[in-house]
Amino acid sequence: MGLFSKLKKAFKKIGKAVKKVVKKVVGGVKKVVKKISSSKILKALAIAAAVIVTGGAALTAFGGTMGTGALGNFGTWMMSTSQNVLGGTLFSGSGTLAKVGNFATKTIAKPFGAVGGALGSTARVGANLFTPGKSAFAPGTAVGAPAPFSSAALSGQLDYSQVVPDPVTGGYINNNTGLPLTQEQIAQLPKSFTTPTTELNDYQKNNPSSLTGNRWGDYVISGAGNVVGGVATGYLMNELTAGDPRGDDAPLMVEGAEPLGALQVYASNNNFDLNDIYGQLTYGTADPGYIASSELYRQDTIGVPS
Amino acid sequence: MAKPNKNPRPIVSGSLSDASAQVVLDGLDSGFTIDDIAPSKGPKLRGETQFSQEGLDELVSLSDKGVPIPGQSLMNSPEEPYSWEQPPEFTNPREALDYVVALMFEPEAMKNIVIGLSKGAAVIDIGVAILYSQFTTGKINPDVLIMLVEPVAYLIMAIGEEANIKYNIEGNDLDEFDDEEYDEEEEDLKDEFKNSLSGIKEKTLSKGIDISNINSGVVPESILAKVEEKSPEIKSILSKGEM
Repeated sequence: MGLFSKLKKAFKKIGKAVKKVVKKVVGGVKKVVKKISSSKILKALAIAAAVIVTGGAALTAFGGTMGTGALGNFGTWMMSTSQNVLGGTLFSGSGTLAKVGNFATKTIAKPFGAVGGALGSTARVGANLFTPGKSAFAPGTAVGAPAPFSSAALSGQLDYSQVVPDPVTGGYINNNTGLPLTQEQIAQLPKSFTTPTTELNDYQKNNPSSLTGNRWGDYVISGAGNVVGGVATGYLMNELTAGDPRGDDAPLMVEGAEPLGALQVYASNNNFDLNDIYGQLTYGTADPGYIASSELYRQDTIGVPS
Repeated sequence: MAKPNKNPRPIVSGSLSDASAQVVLDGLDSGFTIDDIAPSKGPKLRGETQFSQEGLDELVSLSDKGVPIPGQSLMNSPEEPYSWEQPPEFTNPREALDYVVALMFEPEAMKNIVIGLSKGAAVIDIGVAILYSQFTTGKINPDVLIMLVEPVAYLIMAIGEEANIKYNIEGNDLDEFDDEEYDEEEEDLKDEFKNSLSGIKEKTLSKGIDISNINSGVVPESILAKVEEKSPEIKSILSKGEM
């Protein structure tokens, strides 16, 4: 049997399997919590799963149910796991969790951040946008909207390949139509496109081989005394040496001993080395991917000495 | 809005379903109500699957175009392999998931997902279509594809919930969870009835009521006569029956 035939068979099975799991989980929750409808539980599960997968980015991206309802309460509460992990326990002798190749830092940190408020309304309005004779996966007709699943789509909301600066007004012009971009459209342009390239700071000038671009980051990476060469150090090195196309400092996330406990137990139960956690697709509020993806925890938790 | 009475529990699981169930239960245990976690947004838009003759004709015409001849792939030049025949771009499932999620969160893609759901496309079908396209373009391998079906399905469900759509999960199962609810409600009522009956029995026994002490005049004579009249017809299910 060929690969594609096998895949077709697998798709049939996996669809049924996933549904079975969803039903089982809904039933499981229902057994514990009585008098809640299955559809409500399904909704709660979907919201929780979206937050786990995106590390909280879904909360800001959706802006509707999650944004107003859950973000202010349940969402914030969920995110506080990461806060506990990262806050106040830095360098407590456990190890470094510095995953930079995650959803939030690779995507939300980029101009994609503009998705935030607009996305929820787009989704809600989208429910009424029945466009007859148009494929569900066809590119949109909005000005400057990139084709879905294209590289332009990933790098920002607007396809800026046809956008040029207007030296007269200081704004931008759509090269295709010759029309100036509105303020709203300009706001959706990638930051890297609208702001001049960041100049090197003094530390970077004096230390051209610096991996992180600041003294503190280099110290943390090279300081084996404080950083136990454990979880994700190799991964971090890979990501850092690969270079950041936008020239941003890679966020550094350090976790304390306590939250690692859950991971250690999981790794031990499943018979793999904790150092290989990035090769394992795990989920949850103590999962390194979730912690590092959290937008809230991209803020400076370590003071960076100048 | 409830105020949580404790911090969330650190959770790690190999299954997203399990992890989210644990998070929801933990949230409920911390003082949140289900309405805090999943606020109601009014009546949902029903994503009914509708038969389309045009769509069927298109499918038939596609299948009429034929399939590859057995061995056809062996005729391709090894110098120009297909994208899926080359090493995939993402071998780490975490990175692949981040990449796919980023694609799905692109507004235009999300709008199309919402349109798909509202027109009756099933969550699994949309998820598999997205992942399959990533496989054919050489982004992921089939193993990673299978691993990502669950998280992608949940994300599509979350998008559907956000857009307030009643969606199909697999096939045409729009009302499946509702039907279950009715069944469960019925079961609950039956259980309640049984419990109340056994409660009466227990209370009666606890009062020490003896059948011999019951006043014979409690049951009216006319009813007793009817019972006596019908008694030959009433047979035990264990009785031998007529030969």
